[in-house]
Amino acid sequence: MKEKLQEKLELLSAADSPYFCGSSCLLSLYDVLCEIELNTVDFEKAFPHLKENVLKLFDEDPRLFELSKKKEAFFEEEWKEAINILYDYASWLEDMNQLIALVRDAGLKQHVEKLRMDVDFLVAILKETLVIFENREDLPPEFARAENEVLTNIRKGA
Amino acid sequence: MLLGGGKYMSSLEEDVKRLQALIDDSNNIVFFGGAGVSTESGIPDFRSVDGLYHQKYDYPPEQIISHSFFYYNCKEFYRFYKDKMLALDAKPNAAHLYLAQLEKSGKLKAVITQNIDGLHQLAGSKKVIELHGSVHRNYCMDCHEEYSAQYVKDSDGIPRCTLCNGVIKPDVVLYEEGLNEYDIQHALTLIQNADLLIVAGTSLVVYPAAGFIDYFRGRNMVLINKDPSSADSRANVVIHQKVGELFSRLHV
Repeated sequence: MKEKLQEKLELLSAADSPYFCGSSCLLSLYDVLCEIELNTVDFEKAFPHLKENVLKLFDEDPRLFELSKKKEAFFEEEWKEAINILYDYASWLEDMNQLIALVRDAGLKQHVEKLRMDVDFLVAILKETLVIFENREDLPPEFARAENEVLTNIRKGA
Repeated sequence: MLLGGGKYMSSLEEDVKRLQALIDDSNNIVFFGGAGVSTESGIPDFRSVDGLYHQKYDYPPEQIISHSFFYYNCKEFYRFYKDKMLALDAKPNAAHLYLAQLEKSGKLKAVITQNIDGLHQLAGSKKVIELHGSVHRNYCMDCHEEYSAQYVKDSDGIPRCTLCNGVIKPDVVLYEEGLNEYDIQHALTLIQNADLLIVAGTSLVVYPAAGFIDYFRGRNMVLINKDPSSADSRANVVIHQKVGELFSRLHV
């Protein structure tokens, strides 16, 4: 895993890197999750896909941004891709809401602040991307459903 | 906030509001940053009161981080450099992330930094001019083979080239060395054409970089530093806050 992360760091810092601030923040969040995991019993059981999902979003975040910039009509595959990314975000937000509540209950104030800061930042840039999508006239209903799930989870965590 | 050399201090909320309005109103922003941008990432400002310059070492830091010291006392240079200047575990803070976000939105044209830590790129910024170089670029002085910062950090004593055994030198501008001409020209052009110049985390005492802001011809120059400095009078908007804390409250 350490090698995989090192590889991602190099991808992020490369001059022609396709990665942006969202990926950087996700990588920072991954480190915070590892710290929490060290101090938490059964973290993996409670959040079996969270860390994996964060690493997945590392690659998906710039892809969603790239798709949002496309002016032409989407191919069906591109809509599917965008919708799947939104569902990954929705699932991640659900986990993060639960984790923040748990960490807050455990009195780990410093970790709550770190998690909150990263989530707030990622939510802000996700919302910006969603606004770009909303300007399209060809949004499929499934996209709107996925977006709604994302926005509901954002509201729950606010 | 101090306006045009005024006398009153304002709250963080007021400073955020004022800076946000200037950012919202501009589409050609350039950021010029110094050590204070990275202090909230755990990288000490070696000119600040609690920084490296006041810690005990065999030689004064200004002397150690100099061209002649590197050549005549390379082992001691690397003892200091690896211990105090290679913070490879440091992560981008809210300021680095916000600037990358601002660039992504198209409003920020470039980051010009005096820092050598590579944190802007790690935050996702693409257009970064590193006036003082980067710890992430290292090369053999004989055959020019490139090496990572981790290789330098992990080396025992003076890092050597695995191909020719030459001494490896970090691509950072040491005292007694000049800045890269291309970087200077590029930075000056960006500053000259900017509409809003945000200067943060630098006391603007090290030349030639400190003279760069004289080239600004735009509408607003904002100076952000934790503490007041002699450079305050050079900006029309001055904010005394921690850079990361302030930027964490801004939006694009």
